Amino acid sequence: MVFSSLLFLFRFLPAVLFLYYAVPGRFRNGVLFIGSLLFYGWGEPVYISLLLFSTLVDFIHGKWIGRLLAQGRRDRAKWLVASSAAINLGLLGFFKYAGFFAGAVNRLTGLGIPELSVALPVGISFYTFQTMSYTIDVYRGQAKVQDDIVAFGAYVSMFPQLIAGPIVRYSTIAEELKERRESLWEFETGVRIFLVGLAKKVLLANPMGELWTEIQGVPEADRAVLMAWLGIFAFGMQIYFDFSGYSDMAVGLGRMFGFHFPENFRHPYASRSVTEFWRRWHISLGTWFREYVYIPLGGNRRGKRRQAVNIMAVWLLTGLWHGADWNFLLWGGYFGVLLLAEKLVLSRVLKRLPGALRLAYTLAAVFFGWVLFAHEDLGEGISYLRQLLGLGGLAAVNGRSVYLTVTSLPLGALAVIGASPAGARIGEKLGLLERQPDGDGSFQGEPGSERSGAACLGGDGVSQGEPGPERSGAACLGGDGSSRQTGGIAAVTRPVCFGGLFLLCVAYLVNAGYNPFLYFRF
Amino acid sequence: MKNWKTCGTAAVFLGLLALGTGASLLWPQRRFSETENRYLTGRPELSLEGVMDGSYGETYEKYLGDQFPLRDGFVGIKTAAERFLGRQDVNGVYFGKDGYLMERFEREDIETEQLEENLDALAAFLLTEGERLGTDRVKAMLVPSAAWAMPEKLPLLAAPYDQQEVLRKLSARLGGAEVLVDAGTALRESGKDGLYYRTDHHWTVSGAYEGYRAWAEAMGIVPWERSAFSVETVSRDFVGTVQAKVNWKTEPDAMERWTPRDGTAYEVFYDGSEEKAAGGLYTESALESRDKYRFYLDGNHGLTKIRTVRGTGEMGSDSHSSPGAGGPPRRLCIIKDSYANSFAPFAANHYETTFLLDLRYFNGNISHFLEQEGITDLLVLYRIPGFAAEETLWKLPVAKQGGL
Repeated sequence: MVFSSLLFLFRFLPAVLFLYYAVPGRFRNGVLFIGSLLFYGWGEPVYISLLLFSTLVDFIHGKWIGRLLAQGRRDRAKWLVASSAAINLGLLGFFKYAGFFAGAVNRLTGLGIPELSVALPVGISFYTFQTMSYTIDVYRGQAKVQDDIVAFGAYVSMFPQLIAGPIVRYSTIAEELKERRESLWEFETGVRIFLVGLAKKVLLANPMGELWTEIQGVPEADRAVLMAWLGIFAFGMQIYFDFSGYSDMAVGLGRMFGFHFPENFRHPYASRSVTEFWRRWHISLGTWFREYVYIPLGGNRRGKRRQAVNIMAVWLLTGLWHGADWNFLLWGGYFGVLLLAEKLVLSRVLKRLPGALRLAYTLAAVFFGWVLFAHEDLGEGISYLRQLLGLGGLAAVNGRSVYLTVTSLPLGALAVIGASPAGARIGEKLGLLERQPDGDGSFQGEPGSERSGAACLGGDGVSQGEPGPERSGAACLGGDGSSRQTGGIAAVTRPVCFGGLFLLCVAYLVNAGYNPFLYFRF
Repeated sequence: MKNWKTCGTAAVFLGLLALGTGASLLWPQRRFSETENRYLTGRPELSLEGVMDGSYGETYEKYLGDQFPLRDGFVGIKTAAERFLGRQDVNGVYFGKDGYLMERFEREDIETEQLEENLDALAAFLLTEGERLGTDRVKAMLVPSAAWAMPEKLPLLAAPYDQQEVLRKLSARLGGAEVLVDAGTALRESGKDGLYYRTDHHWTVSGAYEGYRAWAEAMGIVPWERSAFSVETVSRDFVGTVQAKVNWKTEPDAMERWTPRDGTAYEVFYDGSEEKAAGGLYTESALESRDKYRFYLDGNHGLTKIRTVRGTGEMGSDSHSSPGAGGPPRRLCIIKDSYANSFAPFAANHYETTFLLDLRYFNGNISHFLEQEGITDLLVLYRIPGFAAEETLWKLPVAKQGGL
């Protein structure tokens, strides 16, 4: 099931909300667990068993590790962490990467290993990473052993972030799993975050995706350079609003049930360097790789050369995480190289450039990356790149490209505003959203909270200030509760505006000729 | 009080959730959507099997979308929102000038593999039949849709695919055999208004008349003039399929009936029946339904037979040209889609018997049929976008090695 569907909004969500608040507190994890299993199994019931298997395996591993640690047998516990990781990665590898690796080996060696193609269970990349974080954190002493299998099952299968993130580390919500306080104000905030996310997905990402799909399908005879630029703009906007919309919906739903999930996107397209971009894009994924891959590999503590190797390893893996194909590997490698370059040389150059140029450089780097990301066939990716650069022998403009550009202009402008910090500021001015700690587009982090993103992977001086607090969870929508005093007019405009937004989303969903779900490759 | 002030959004959201849930559970189910002219998905039966293989979940989602309360209204809201954002086309429909809704077709919509297959099949058929009946007796007329034929009605900057490309592709397969009728150019250059409906994908009777003139010219027949018909408006509230795609209010179309002034009458037989259809060429009852276009030759039939009864009116039948006058009577067969339904009455004036054969519904042996009925003249008539997507052209017989 996906959030942006009538089924979710008018069947599943009301039922779960009702049951959740109708039962006493001690049964609420149970409602979430069972609800989440139904959510997951709606289209593909067999995969519920996979989720249950993951839950059971990691629950047992966690308990066992806890017992060994209590007995002071740390080295034995280490083996259990390895076993848990092996099982989790084994599942991921079997379902997601078996076909790809078999193909790669076959191509390299000429062997004829059968190339499996199993239907990828939705969200397996997300929840595998989540459950791995549990056993590792228990081993590291960063999390207590969970003795309640229902609470643990609720964590593993938690439907708000099950299939599209954010990747919530166990330690982040361990406390809230045991005890959380739902409140009307939290609920209200959650509703607004959720509706912003829904609107991002339904009103911006889908139409942008429609434009990209159309341009992708335009035969070469009707292409033009302008069209190629419009296309990759549309793709970049689609993927941003899709991912961040899903994350917002997850954060908002979490709030409705009393959980605080980490913020996952913070205006990445306003970044002034690629390093900064990756601190603002899919923050929870960056954090995961930093915590569980980069630092264990030695991070930056073993000399520059080792650090460079670590960075490349992390980014190749990040690329591969997005999909089992060469273009994703290449895409990850591309960013690894860029980050290294910024670290070694570029940051010094960038520092001297005016902000607008740094922004232009960053966007160019990121959007060229999207060309790789969008084309699983490398040949097609390269030919699209040539078209972008005017090397494809295409006309600069043609009738169709002008028509598409002009008729997409207002939507494109809305998308640009929505993706930039200006959008959030307009929301604040209108009294729809609350003060945002990150209003001017640069990080003015609040110290003391968990550091976000791949912060350590970045340079030192490229972005101003410290990385933001991970726990601030879509703080732009009023996470801290300090602005509860909703004054006068907002008491009326908010319900009206958000109610209208919701109805508009429903209208788009009813007319869902086009409501694709992008996560089946993750 | 304080709660109300700070939590109004939550209240509105929960209220809308409850309303939507309740209404969608209680809303009366519709079997058929008049607006969309299709059957809607009903609530699926719950079964263990269906749940386990996921089909129950899938159907349930379809059902919810199809049966959602105020569905048509929501579709209209979306269209309004997209137009507000400067979109000139929504759901594949242009918002043209003067209230024209026109389907938008691009190269990738038309130039499909199916089109190539269809062109191959059609070309082979035309060549075979041209050999058998003579190329002057065999014609093909592929008619572009409104967006190509009435470019002056397109929205600003719209630059759709040149549908005549399909004619060029067909022509290249025919190796010089002159069997193509360029109706598109004739329509475009006729200078007439209202050749297509504003709300429907069909051409109007007036559009069909221009097509008929182009065909007659190619056949060497002198076409009847417009003045040979008395025109009456039979409906002023025709709202067609293109409008349904966007559910956008626009002025309904008028439908016309053109009756020969000379009193020529027609007997119509559907699907091999011996019984004359009551209303002749026209099905009056269709005007009371949503699918008004069925008025013309009763919509889709696999086989339609029209017998033309010569009029004795003031103009006299001998003032009109019939092909091969003086020789044995000639019989026309039109292999067609619904574009021919308003075209055939014009062509029928030049024949004693005219057949309409719709490949989608006709399952007999076609070469057998052509021979048995003594067909002397052939016309293949399709709308270009429909032709590109048609999956039944393989039924056309072709000469095989060693005879049929």
